Amino acid sequence: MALLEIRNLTKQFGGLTAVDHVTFSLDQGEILGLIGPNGAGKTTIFNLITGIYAPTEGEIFFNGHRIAHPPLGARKFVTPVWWLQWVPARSVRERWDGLRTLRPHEITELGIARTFQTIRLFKNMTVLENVMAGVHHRTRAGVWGAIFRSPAQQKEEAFIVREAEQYIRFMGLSDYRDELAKNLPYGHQRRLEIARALAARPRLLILDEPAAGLNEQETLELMDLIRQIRDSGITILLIEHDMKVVMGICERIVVLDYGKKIAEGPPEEVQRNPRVIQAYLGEEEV
Amino acid sequence: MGNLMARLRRIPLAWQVGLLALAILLPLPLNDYYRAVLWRTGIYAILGLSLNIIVGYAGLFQLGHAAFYALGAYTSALLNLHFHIPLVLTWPISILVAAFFGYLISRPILHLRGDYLCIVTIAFGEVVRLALVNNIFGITGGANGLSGIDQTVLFGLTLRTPLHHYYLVLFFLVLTLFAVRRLENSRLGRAWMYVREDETAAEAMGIDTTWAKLLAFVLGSGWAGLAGALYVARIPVVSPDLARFIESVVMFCIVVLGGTGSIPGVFVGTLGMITLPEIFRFLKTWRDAWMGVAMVAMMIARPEGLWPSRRIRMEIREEE
Repeated sequence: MALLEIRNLTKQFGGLTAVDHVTFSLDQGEILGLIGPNGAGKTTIFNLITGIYAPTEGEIFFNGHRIAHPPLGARKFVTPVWWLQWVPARSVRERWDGLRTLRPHEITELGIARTFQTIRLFKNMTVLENVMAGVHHRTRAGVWGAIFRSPAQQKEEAFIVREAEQYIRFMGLSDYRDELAKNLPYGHQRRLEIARALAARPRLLILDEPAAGLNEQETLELMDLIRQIRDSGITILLIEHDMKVVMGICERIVVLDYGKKIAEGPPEEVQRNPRVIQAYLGEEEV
Repeated sequence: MGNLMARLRRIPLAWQVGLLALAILLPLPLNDYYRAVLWRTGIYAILGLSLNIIVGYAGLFQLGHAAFYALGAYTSALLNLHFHIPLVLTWPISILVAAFFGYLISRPILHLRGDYLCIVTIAFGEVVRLALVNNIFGITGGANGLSGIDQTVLFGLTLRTPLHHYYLVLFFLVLTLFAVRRLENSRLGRAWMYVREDETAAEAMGIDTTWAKLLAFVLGSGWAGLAGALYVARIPVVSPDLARFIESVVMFCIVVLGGTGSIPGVFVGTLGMITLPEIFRFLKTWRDAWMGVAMVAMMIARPEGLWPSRRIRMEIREEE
């Protein structure tokens, strides 16, 4: 069964159709590349998968859960259910939950973590604290634990630090543990974003242009890391402009142009596809 | 914990003990007027610390905090007047009522950001004030408020002098400090910081931003309710003036003036907004004028506040 399944996904912003009836799926353990010229709708698809946007049409399934569908919109006021959000009782909440779209953090809890195209670290927090954010949803301590420093809370705090350190080590950032995120060199910031995403222990990791702004050497290291991550059992979906990376590590590629899927297949096949060449190089003058 | 930033910000134990001793001894040589000033400072420091959870940690603009202060005060007063519940026993109920209203008002508006949230909180503050002025349900006594509230009896001891009340407030202030410090360096405290730093990234990392913001609001509001109840403990008269917009502004200034998100900053802010104006009362109306000038000058020279948390200073200075 496919891990991630995107069906007929459409997103309109006013009159602009950013994503136009796109369908593709992703199998467990795969590295899938999503490519296309600027403005093709790649990042929009990422934002739809991670719940930042709700689709205009279509659905996304992850591991059997329907994680995205068109929102209730005006209908929620016609069928009077909107007040259910105030009711703390679980059974009532679930009725509401069945109707509403999932929020980004709930999708992360189901096992999807991401990085951003423009790096979005918690800039004024340390590397350790950044990665600790990823462990957050796997822990539970709240107000009482914090104020009374219960043994359970203490144990959990130690667990959070231990987990975070493990991913910092994995991404080779141990020397920068207590450094502020914004003081890291650019390439390390990219790595830190990946470490933070991995700390959420995802089944699917979504990377938005992970090699952007990296030099030759850093890019090679990154490719190696991505392979290692995949080998540890995490499925990877990435957007990338650097063709060396895409052709080097992706097993399958989906090509978008003006929001539509124009090709899908293994790298060599996609590279030869005339529609892909046309999308990238433009219409040939006769 | 291995939290370097927290360790750097920690004030040494000797200083903590010294400051506490100072706080205990300070009112002894003073007359009752200045003891009352200190009491007021304590109340506003508690209010500042509670608002600091909302504004400083979670980064939510809340300009209606006085409404929760008033709700706490009225709850305490009403329970005492109508049901003759001893004031001490009304305190937890004041906290719960204020926290409940905090939940009720913040639940539908939490997705609003920055200035929009600010407008809603201002509106809520005014709604509460006008409801009190208009004698809602016929129980709030209208513009005159309520009077004839009992004196506070604590373990058989009737609190009569300003000194008694000062120590009562000091006790709760220390308690607040303790709780707030621990909250700041916890999983919840970090969640607030993630939300403040980058809400989208926080959400994407699996942090329930609604949960974090809601808790900030509920805790902050509830604690303001306690401050209201402590006010009633000394002043047996409550009026809608407690919920005036200017009160909310003063509380907001306490947080911002000293340095948003910084606990020492709240104390500096309280000194600047409450204690100094009280001491310079002889300057009469000039006092407010100078206050305004000083604030403008400060916002130009030190936008991050007088005693900022390191993190916030970085956030603000970075934009220049």
